[in-house]
Amino acid sequence: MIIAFLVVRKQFVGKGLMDLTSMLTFAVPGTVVGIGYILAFNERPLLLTGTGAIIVLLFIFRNVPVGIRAGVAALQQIDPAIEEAATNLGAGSGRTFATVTLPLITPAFFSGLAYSFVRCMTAISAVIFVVSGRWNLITIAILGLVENADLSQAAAFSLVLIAIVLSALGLIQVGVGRVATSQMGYEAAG
Amino acid sequence: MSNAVRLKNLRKVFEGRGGSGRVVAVDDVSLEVKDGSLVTLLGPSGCGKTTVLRMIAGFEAPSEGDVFIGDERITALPANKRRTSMVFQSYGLFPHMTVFDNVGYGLRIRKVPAPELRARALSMLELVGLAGTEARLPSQLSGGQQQRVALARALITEPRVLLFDEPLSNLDAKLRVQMRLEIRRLQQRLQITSVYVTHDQDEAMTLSDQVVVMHQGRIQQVGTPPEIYSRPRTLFVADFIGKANFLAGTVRHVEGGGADVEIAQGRVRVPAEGFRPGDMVWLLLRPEAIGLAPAGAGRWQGRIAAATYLGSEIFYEVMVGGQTLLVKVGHPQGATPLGASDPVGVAFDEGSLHLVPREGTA
Ligand SMILES: Nc1ncnc2c1ncn2[C@@H]1O[C@H](COP(=O)(O)OP(=O)(O)O)[C@@H](O)[C@H]1O
Ligand SMILES: [Mg+2]
Repeated sequence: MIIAFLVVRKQFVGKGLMDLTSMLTFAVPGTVVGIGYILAFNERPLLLTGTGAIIVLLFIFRNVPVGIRAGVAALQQIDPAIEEAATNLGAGSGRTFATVTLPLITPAFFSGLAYSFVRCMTAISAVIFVVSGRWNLITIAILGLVENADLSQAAAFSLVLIAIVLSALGLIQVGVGRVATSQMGYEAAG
Repeated sequence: MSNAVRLKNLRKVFEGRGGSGRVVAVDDVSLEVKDGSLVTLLGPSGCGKTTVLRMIAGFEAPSEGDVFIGDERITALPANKRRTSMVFQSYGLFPHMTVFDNVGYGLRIRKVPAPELRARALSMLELVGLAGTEARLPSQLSGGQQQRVALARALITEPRVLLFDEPLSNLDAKLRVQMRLEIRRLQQRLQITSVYVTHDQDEAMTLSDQVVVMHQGRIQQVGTPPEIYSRPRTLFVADFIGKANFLAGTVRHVEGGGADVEIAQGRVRVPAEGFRPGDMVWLLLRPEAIGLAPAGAGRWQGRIAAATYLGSEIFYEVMVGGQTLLVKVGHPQGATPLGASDPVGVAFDEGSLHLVPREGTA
């Protein structure tokens, strides 16, 4: 969110680069990213291969761009006059961000979160390289089962996956809905 | 403590990105806004008004020059420390806060205790005629009400200077007229130094102690509304403010606060100062300063080319010696308007004429 804020509102050297870097893991094919992670984290002191942490890390970095994009889009919708008004009334930049900007982009953040979550649950390309016996993912388990022609178990897992994704999405929707209602004004006025 | 605003040789250059060229938005602007007065910056879109205002607020840093409030040089002071309050064209209300929280925002930043904040916010809402709306969200108010909230929010911190950037241009015409009277009333009552940006000359005329006419980043003229209207100093100002007829002429003789000017229709004597024989000039004739007379009477003879009926008045276009003059006539009840090609006389008082320099003047 802060990166999004910087990208939209501030002028600085390397702004374009930052925007681009934040998109990079998104643009590179998942398999390449996955192999890259194995290579990078295969040695001490960053020995993470085979742990749960590497999966989480991968998901975080792979999905950061989604959050940033959502934030950028939301910020571009906000009239700069709103933030300037806060500054004008005596709020410093931190204060302005916390009391005005952040609350206005929170709904976008949650939508981004929902999207990221679905992507994580159903991802396969990058993570397939970093899973291990102890830390597996349901998608990859399904793939393995299909390869073993164990279709019935694969189907059962798939159903579980779908159920989890849908119920989680539902929860996030409720969360966003609550935030959105308190800001209905903004949506309607926009 | 004086809250006069002083601008000294302000200049702002926007560097175009990727070689798209530089824009000199504000060029050598010097101005004094007296403590407690309201000054409007008036000019067509893109002439740099907003940029000047934003430099006073601290949202833009001047490329050159300085901004003072009272004796304090504030050029390098961050916007949130300047104690200037801006009212924006788009209102800039916080959409996720209630009217009350919007108005109280500045006091909350200043850590004013809750009971005092509440009392002041409510009385401010009452001042702008919005008592009872404090629990609503901005989106549940009309445009005019939203702008009143913005005004209350700007006033509550007791700013040293109030800044307006075309605050009424999103409102319909009737509301605009009403709101500008209210703004003026509040401003005079609170004696708050104000800078008001507009492209609407009626707004500038009715609101201001002083009008600053800008064109292409430069100040063209500073004066009271009547000065600007009746004694414009340049063709641009004369043309921008109100309607006017311009007749090309040359000064032939200067004597005792007046000049003899030769124009296509003959010679006229015009009140003028600072002109010399041989100067090329535009003779300015306001449409309402011209009267129509029966054919044969009046100074010049002409024919009606067109008539525009506006209810309370009629605008005639009169052909006089190959030139069209716009003439405004208060519509006499019941009289039949003149029709096209009717011959008429054109009358005016030489005292109402005015000269501005014409390109090519030495
Ligand atoms: N942030 C900016 N970057 C580049 N050019 C700008 C910027 N702001 C204003 N300008 C340019 O400066 C000039 C004056 O703009 P502005 O002060 O907004 O005019 P006005 O308020 O009188 O309509 C315009 O040519 C505009 O395009
Ligand atoms: Mg403007």
